Amino acid sequence: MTGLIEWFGDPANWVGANGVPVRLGEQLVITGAAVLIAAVIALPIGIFTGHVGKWSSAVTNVANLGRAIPTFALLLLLAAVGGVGVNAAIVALALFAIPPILTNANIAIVGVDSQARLAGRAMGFTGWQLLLRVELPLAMPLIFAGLRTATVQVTATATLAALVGGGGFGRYILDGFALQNTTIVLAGVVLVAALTITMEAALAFVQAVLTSRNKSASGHMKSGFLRALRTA
Amino acid sequence: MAHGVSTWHHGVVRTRRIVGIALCAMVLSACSSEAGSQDQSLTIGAFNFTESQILAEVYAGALQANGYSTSIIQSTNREVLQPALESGEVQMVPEYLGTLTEFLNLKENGSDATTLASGDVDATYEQAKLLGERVGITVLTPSPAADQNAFAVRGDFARQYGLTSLSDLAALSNSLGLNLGGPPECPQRPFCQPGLEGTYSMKFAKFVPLDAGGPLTKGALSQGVIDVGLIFSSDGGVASNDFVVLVDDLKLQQVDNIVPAVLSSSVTPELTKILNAVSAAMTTDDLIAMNKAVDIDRRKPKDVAAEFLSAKGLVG
Amino acid sequence: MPAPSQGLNSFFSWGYLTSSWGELVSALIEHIAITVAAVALATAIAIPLAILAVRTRWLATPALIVGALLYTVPSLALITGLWPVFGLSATTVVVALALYALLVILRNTIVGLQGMPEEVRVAGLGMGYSQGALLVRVGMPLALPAIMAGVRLATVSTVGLVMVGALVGHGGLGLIVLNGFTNNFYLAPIVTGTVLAVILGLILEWLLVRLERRLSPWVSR
Repeated sequence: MTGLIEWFGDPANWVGANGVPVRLGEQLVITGAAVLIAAVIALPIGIFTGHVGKWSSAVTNVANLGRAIPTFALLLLLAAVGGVGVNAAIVALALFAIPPILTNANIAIVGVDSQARLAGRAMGFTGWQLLLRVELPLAMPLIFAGLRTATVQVTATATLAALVGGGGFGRYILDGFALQNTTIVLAGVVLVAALTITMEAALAFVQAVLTSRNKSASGHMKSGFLRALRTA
Repeated sequence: MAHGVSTWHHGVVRTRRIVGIALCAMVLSACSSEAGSQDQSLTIGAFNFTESQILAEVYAGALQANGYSTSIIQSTNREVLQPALESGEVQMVPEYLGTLTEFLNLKENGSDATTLASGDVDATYEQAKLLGERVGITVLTPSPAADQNAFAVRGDFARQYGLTSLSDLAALSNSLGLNLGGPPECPQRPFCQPGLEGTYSMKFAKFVPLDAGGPLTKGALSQGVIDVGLIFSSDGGVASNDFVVLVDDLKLQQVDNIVPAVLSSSVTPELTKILNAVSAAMTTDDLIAMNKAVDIDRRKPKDVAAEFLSAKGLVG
Repeated sequence: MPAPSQGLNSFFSWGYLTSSWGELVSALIEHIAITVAAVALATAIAIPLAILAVRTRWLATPALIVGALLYTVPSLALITGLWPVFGLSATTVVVALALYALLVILRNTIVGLQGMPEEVRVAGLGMGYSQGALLVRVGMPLALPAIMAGVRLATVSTVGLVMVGALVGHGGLGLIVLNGFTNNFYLAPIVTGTVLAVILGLILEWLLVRLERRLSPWVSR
């Protein structure tokens, strides 16, 4: 325990290519890129299929299939084919992040209150307007929850990137294990946990901001934030 | 509701049985992986690179031909397998003489210990035996086959800067930022990064942790992610990758002959005889050929090992 | 992109499949054994713990928080972290993965139990059930869909995570994949191991869906 505090207190661990800031940067880049790519792919598909109403079971099946793909193996496969480094990790993690984002986006749109849809139609909305002005705003909390889940899961799993030379906090865990130095492993674990919790809280905050702008009877931002946190 | 509950009850009983079977399976598999100190069985530990897997299969094959039952457990490196050997979780590890000696030396005498391994196989062997004894490990007779750590650069890089030796590279490192790649333990191993920096006064811009002379390091070297990488002198694919192995002109590397390290309490005269016979029959060329057969020709370590053993008349 | 010379290296190879059949089968068996053991262990702990948590109320939140914290520990760390305790054995992997599965099953069970309709609760208490008996004999069957959803999710993700156990020598199909990787990026085992793991995950999910239907025939589908 004291060793851990010493490790964090040692300035040498905060500079250089193996220092915390650099590794943090790598972890964020990998996570951010993966979730972004996954969102760009999964959100349009999930939203569209939800809006159109068909293919929901196809979406569920694809998402299930995606969940069954082991990220560890996929990562090694991509690195073997495409070369070592960050790219293999980003692609593997993007594929890992697609199922939760896809499923949530689809369910969110499908689950929009049919009364709201009827009201929209009655007001003369076209399909596009219905989507943008009725369905999306109402579906936003659940869509966002999917993004949050994906981000948190990716943050923790991004540690695998170290296996293929991708850097990040996983480096501390792997190196610590290789050197049989528990302090370094623990440092890596603490850093990942701290980052995950911080991201979860940050995204819950963003979610509260986004949803408090849309009505909600008890729309006080603080309680919305706490509510969002509790529905982890 | 009553019908539903009784079906549920039935389901729970079935679930409990499945749980029971699963837990038994878990216990059984855990039990079978600890071969224990029974007479005719041995658990061999292997590092996670091709050559170590081949060596484990070679020794295992010879033991099996003599009536032993063997199992091979694979993990990452010495830092993990050495404690496993000392605790008896594995009973034999095919080791590398010089590196093992220094590993045990540093563990016993701290990081400032004087280097005990040297370029002399016999002298190093003596040291290894003593160090091993003190932790309950018997180091058997070293094989003529050896696999040194070696450092390689890309062919075009070597040609561009006229590099043939590590001293040449050291001179270059003063003007050009070099990236070194190797296993995560490299910055801690006296014959890896500290050795290059000490003996050769080499400077590195950064160290990239990859693997021990495996495809990650070779890939990173090909891709230019690193400029110099640790590979093994018995690697089967140096030529085909257009790598140039730089000559160790200042003799940093010690003798790394293959040598079985055995848990002392598992040693019997018969075991010693079998293992030593295998070691004696191996040459460095054999290692290179076997590595190439697996890494390039995609043959299986077990088959390659079996072929080696029968070619040398060690089985059947 | 230049890659190390790899010799024969196609994604799929009949030669590899036929010559490695034995290895693949025993890796598959280890994989299944570890998955089942981990999920069974997690379920065996999660369900009583969930019942207790719902019964005593104050336990629910701390239990969920500890579980969530465990979830932030990367599988890599948990498996390598348990290595000093259990050694290079399958137990290390089983315990580590059980801890992950625990959160999912625990959370789902608690939510399922807490979701018991008020009328049912009142009726049960009126019939003379004690709080505890109510939870076990009425709450559990009602929570079954939620519990099974948790078990299914836990199982599929465990199948993937077992592979990381290759680092301590017990990764089922993961060792096949890892060895392929370290043996100069040999693609056939990497691809074969991955495909088999995916198939295994899907089969286990399908089996669990069937099991759920058998256990709860009163649920309309």
